[in-house]
Amino acid sequence: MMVMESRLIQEVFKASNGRIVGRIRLQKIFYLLEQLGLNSGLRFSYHHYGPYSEELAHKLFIAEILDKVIAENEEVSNAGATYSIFNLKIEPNDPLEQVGAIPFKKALSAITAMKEPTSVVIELAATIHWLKHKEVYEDWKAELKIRKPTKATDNNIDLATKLLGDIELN
Amino acid sequence: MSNTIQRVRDPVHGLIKFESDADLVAWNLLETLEFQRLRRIRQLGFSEFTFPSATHTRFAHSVGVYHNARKLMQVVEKVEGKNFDKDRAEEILFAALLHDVGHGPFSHAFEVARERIAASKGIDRIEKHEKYSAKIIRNPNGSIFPILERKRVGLAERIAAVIEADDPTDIYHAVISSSFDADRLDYLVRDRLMTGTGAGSIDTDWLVDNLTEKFVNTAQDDDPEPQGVQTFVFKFKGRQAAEDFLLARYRLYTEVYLHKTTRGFEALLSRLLQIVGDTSLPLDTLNLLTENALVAFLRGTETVEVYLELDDFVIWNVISSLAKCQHEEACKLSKRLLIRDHLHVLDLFSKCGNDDLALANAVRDIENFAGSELGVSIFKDAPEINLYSEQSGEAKKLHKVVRVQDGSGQPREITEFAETIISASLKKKRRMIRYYFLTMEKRDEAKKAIWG
Repeated sequence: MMVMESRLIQEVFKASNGRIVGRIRLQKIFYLLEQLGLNSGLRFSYHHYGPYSEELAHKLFIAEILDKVIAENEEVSNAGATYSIFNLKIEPNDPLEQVGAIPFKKALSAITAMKEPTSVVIELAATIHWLKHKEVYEDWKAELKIRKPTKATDNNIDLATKLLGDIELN
Repeated sequence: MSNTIQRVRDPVHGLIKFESDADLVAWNLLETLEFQRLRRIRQLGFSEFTFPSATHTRFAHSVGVYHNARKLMQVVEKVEGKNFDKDRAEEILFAALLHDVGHGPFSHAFEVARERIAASKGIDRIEKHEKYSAKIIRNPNGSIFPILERKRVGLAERIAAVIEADDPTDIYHAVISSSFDADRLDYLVRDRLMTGTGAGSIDTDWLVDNLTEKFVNTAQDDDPEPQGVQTFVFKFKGRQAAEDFLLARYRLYTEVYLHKTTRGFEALLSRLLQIVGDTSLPLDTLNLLTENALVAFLRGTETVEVYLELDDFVIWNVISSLAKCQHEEACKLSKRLLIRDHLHVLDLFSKCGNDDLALANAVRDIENFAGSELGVSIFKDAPEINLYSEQSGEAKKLHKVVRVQDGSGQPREITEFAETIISASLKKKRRMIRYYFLTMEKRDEAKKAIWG
């Protein structure tokens, strides 16, 4: 298991075309990549918006403030919410064949798919994965509707399961 | 099983009467074995080592939450009028009473230790106290489930679902899950009273009298479509009291809940619990028995039945045994707890203030200095705090934002008012990073490693 350092954050951002929008999306991208074999060593636990890693938040802080490879800016959405945009400031100085232990092309394709839907849908996708594989619920849909009664609409669940299928995590 | 009017005297709320049909069900719940366990769990764990009178229990708190929930439900009844749903209201009142029934002893230290034990065994996750509350309520062999099912079939499941939900679904639910809910309205007032701190002030009656409900549209991250949240907002006349309430809450977090000495004792207990849960250590070296509920639970028997045996007394009993054991580290750490011999803290939060670069540099230097001792004899604590006192997670919870109606009746976040005394900068999360050392000498060596 490798130790998660700023280098791996750089790799993930490189495969994100240098930009990830929103703290929720950023956490869920790392969680779902970990399930695809990122091998970051990060530990996730269940929080309000689904799987979340305190350790990742801390590593991002170091990557941003100390190593200065990431920059964070805040913007206000049309719906009035303040959200963060993370940009890669310094690219890895060698061509990437892997993102962690994931082939670069596979990571690029997965992250591209994870940047498409709303943050609610990626939150649901990560939570579905968590309920199925970590908490091992047979009827994960019923549990999802209990945990996220307002977000887990049939349409959002369809979009979330489609996302998991698109990144080959179903 | 009681059917007569019951009364409880309480230092926060005065006389609390149980007299309606729902109250009598609540009283029967309160008399169950599961609920009585909360008498043996202190609300603030090790805070009594810092604030000696803070010995109140989760039992007293839970009764207070039920009392507050009844008051807030009257606000809901007033605004809902003839649409008021009595059955839904009862569900929420019982959920208010039972919300902490799954709390473990020394909650924070206990869950931190369990996470670390699970990580060391390659287990992905632990079940947290909210999950145990739901399991205890759903347990058909327990005492709570039949009381609820006698009241109404399916009631236990509905209450468990309310407790497990990440987001509130309606204004009834907001009674126990909003910026101004029955839970925090009890614990903030009770903890302030019992610790003797003068931090802020909470004008409960005025605040409740100035509550109304609104459907608030709000979005998460950059999502284009807002989500509607039906929640409590304060009327304009309640704005200043709401500011005081928020400040009191913020002060209680910084001065009581996250007090550096208290958190140091939690780190110490957490380390001890990890030793107890280490299955590679023979129990005789720890002077413990297999039958001990804490030993059984931490070593893998994570059933509801065993969980319900855990309380502060079981923990202290184990600490007493460890203080006489052959395991040198466990023996020393236990003795430190028994005589309140605190760890030595290096508080980067007070040293670096809001200078993130200085903080990040100090963190890297200390962690290089600590090496493999981190988590073994040097302990890190890094809770996060902001105006809304959230301690972890990636974004603020949309239903936890304090909103006040402006002159036109529109709800606005409390920090948006021009004349507010609350700085919007407090909405940003700050990391209260601290490192704890077994000796002052080691702490001073670490200081030298960072600052020379």
